[in-house]
Amino acid sequence: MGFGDLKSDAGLKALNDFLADRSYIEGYTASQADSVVFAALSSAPKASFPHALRWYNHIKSMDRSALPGVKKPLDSYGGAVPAQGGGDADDDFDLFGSDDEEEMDAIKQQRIKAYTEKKSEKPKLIAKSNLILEVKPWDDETDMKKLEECVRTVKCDGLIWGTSKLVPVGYGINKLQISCVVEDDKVGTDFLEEEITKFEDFVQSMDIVAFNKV
Amino acid sequence: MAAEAPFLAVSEYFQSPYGSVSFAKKDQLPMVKTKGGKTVTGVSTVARHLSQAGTVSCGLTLEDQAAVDQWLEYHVTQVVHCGQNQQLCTQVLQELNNYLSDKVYFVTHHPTVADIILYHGLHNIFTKLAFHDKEKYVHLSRWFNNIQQDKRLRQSLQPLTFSRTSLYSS
Repeated sequence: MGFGDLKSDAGLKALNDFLADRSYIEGYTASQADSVVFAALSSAPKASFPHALRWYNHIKSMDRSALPGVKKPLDSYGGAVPAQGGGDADDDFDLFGSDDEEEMDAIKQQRIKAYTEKKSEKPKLIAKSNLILEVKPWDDETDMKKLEECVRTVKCDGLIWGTSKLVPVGYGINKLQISCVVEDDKVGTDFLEEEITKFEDFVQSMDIVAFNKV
Repeated sequence: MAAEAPFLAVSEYFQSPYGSVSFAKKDQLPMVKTKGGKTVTGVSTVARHLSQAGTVSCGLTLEDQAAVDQWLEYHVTQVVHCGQNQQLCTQVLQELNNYLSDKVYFVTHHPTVADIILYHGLHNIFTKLAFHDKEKYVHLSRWFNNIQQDKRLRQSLQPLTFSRTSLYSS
């Protein structure tokens, strides 16, 4: 509570921030609260504190002794503005019962450190996916062995081919089911599809049957 | 009726008789019969008449009165068209916000008829604004929040909530 020393820049800044969305110190009319804070200022705030200056000029235009309300000590005005130095007054508001501010600070620092460490570790986990692809040949005369060989020639960083099997479709035609593990960041499904359908002589079409995160 | 609200506010604030205000059927223009038996029409003229016929003296100098008139004119020519035109709306909000950056009320150091009419004109626009938009126009929002606390000025309008959170600060 309070604005601190209103003759210093820090106090003026607190007042300025407080008045950014308020027209008066208390409530929605001019009162003795304004008068008290006004009296605490040595002169008009600098133009770098526009909100404080606007309020100052507004209060200056009034007869300050005739304002309603009761005078209270200067420190009781202002919202929960963080007290800069001399923050003895907030003992009553210490909900966590820790009187040692330094200890609190240390704990906070530690937590922030732990959090940033945890965060920096995270990207090291590489997201991988297990894909099952289905490659369909043109007809029953397509050499499935050759087709599989062709598919397995597709190579790139982060791509590992797994087992494969031929699944009969009908009329003596088989399709090739092949599994692979890819690193999500390095290999995209578009890339795979593009590469495999390049073997036009063998491949009619290609589908992704399953896509599982590992 | 919504169209009545600003005039009710003006008449209550300046304690002038409201009874004689009526609205034209065709274009909803307000009309008032003066004591002299004349009829005046138009938003700003009626508002001005009500503010001066009251028992509460506004104590405005000629310059202040001219400034008030200018804001009433601004209301009629700009603010009322904001509803249909998004671009104009942003421009008006920006303009008013800049104007109010070093002022508490539009003219002088107490509410005038300009504040009342503009408050009622802007209420519609403000209801549609999100919190972070209101925060963007912090001066205008402060003024608005200050005006709406007076029940006489607010009349039947809903008070709006303003909040300054650190969430949106950028």
